[in-house]
Amino acid sequence: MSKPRTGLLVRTDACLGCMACQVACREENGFAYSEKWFEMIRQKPKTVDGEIRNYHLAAPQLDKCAFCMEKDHRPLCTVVCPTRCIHIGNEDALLEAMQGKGDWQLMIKGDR
Amino acid sequence: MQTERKRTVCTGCHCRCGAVVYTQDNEIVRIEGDADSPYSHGAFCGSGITERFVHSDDERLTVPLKRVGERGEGKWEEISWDEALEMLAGKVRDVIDRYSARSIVVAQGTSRTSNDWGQRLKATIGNLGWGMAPLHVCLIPNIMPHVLTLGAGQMHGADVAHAKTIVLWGVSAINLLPEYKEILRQKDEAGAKVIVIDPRFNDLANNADLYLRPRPGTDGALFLGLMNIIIKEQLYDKEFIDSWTYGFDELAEMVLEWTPEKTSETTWIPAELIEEAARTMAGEKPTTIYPMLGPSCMHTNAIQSGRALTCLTALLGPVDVPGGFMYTPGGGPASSPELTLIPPDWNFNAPEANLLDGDKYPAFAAFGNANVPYSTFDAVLTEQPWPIKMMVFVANDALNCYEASPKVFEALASPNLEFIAVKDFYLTPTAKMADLVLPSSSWSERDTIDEEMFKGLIISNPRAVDPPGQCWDDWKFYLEWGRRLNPELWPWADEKEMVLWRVKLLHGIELTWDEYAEGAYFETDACKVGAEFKKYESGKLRPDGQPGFMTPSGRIEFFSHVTESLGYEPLPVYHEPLESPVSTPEVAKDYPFVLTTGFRLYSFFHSAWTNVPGQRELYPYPFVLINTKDAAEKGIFEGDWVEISSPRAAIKAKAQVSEEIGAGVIALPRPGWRQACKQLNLPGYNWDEVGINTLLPGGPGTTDKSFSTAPMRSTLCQIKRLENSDV
Ligand code: SF4
Ligand code: SF4
Repeated sequence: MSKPRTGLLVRTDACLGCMACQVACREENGFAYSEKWFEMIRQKPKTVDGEIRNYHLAAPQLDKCAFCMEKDHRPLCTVVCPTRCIHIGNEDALLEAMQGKGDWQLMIKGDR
Repeated sequence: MQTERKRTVCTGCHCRCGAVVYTQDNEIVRIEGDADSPYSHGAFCGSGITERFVHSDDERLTVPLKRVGERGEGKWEEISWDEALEMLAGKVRDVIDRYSARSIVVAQGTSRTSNDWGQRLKATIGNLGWGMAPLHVCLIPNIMPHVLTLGAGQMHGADVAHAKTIVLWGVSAINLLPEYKEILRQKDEAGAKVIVIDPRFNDLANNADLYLRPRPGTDGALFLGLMNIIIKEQLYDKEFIDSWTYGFDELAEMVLEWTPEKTSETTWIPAELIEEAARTMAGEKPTTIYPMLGPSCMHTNAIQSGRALTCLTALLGPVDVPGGFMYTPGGGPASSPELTLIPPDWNFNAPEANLLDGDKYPAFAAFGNANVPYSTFDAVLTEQPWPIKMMVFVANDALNCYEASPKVFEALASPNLEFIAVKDFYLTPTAKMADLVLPSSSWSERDTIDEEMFKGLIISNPRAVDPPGQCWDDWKFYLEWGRRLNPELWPWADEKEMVLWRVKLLHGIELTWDEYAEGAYFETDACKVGAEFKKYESGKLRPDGQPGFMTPSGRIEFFSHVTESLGYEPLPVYHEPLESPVSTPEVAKDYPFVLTTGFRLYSFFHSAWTNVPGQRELYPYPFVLINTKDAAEKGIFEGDWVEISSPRAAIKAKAQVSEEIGAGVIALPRPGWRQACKQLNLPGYNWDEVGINTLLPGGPGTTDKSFSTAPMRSTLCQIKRLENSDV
């Protein structure tokens, strides 16, 4: 059987865009300041059908997240998140989590 | 190498999140939120976890420095703490000999847990009160109206975890991190409605049911407009209002003119939205209002806006019910006379209180207990009404803190001011002007306590690591300085003894250090009282045990004689901001935009940490928010350097163009100032080129009339694109 696929899931209506996860990724992995392995892309409030709306988007490097999953502790990005809205995990677990209330952004690392 | 797990509290900002710090050999290897914390339940932030960098940064101040060149020249000599403390104590004696204690001003900035010890130190010198803490632009304009109207010495009474309607008024998401999960849960599970009111579409609005965007400075009118609808449509609890409040008829008459149409015209919010908000707040109860600095602080109408806020709170009563306005004991900056050495009957309005311009701003003297900052800087220059010879800034970067920064600079540069000491983490712009610079411990390096946010709980705050070099926390600093002035008043051996003494004094709990550090979470008697509801019925809100509230009438006061005695109307009358398109149309011809400054980012705290790479990379440059439509008219594109000018000064920032801010309004976050960050190769930007407070007016006729609040959230400005050659 092939290895389960790694993914990242964010409940976008709960995410504040506080970027703690992004800071945490740097802390967790200690890469150089010239690098960036994970970014919380803060979108700007925009008008939709006459009303202002907004949400933010996560941009991980999923091969690095897969590496984090093998550590003996939970990835720091998910631990520091003040709203507990970001999850790193196997595809099945993430699909399951998505059944809860909210709007979701899911990214899965495909085979190449 | 052994990894140790240390639990403590992050006091990096007022959220006070529980922290778990993993260490190896006095180095921090990892920081997490404390999932067991009964207050923050594991919430944390990006700023908090960069403490690892701060702890080990070799550019941090770690040794006391004495100026050797000219003031501001940047030439320093490293000295010992002994020598530094002798300088400080000697200068205190010298100034008292030649002038008097009131010529010495100790100005603490935001609390690094040491508020009451700072007061004790000032009392040791001979100055009772808060010295020159920036309380005029702090949360006191929220607390004071809560005292006047509701008899509650607290900055809000929000209970988001049980509310059906949650009103987030002028508060940023970063202020709500420990509590935001509760809001989400209440929305998901109880169908709670969230109303966000803020000139800026902040991240809390992303997920709100209603968003109202007031013109900055008009919140006072919006409160009145909401009350107009609630009273007209009889959406209030008549029995509660009749039994427990004072002055309802007068209030009802006063708000009559604040129809949705008039309120809309003043606040720029559509009338239908105001009506919908009023009906939701009064219909889906319990309703809880969570205000921060937005609605009723940092405006020229601060105190009366706060009075209007607290009147609306009462009108949405009954109060002191789960999910409504809660009376929370044990909170706030309240302390004990035995600690602060301020006698309980001390009159801060009397001439003997020696507060600069206390007579001109009686509300500030009474509730701020401090020298009026602008007047103090002015007194340095004029030596009137008395000279100021020595200033000590603790956790206070004055050049990025007070309004009218050029005035602050003039005072700091003046030879009249004989001695300046600054205690901070890095060489701030103010520290660069000092004669003595003292290094500070950060939150993971302190053995301390701070219960201001914990609603009666104690959550212990032991150090996770030892501070680098000779960094001292503010408690130790006050102890050692105070001891040299009057050893009898400072008998403790160290901060740990001070913590234990304080816990016993304020909470009646006797602990050893290990019990304190390892016990982590303690309930005090205040928790038991706090868990009871409608305490005004049982007499638990008054020391005399009588039913009612801690106000002169024993009722919630819509009509307040005390407010009147402080120089305001007894009812919460709305006044236009002193500088606005309505009150100064001539100024608005040249400065047509409403300017609101100082909203909080997820990085930085006040002016600190702009050099910390993990924080700075999120906000590399000073920036300004402008609406899409305004930007198009002004030929400003995303990322352009622009000039923002006021009748006082001009600064620059990079434009962020979006709907985050409404048309006609310009918003500048705090701080503008950036320290250079070598890890990211980002330059510094000095206070005089980007500092937001340079744009603001200061002094008589520009502030709240009795509280001296500077209008950081509502003035006027102009904006234009800078040509590349001007940048
Ligand atoms: S830490 Fe959580 S709330 Fe903050 S940006 Fe990341 S996912 Fe969103
Ligand atoms: S700085 Fe961050 S972690 Fe620390 S108390 Fe404030 S929000 Fe919490």
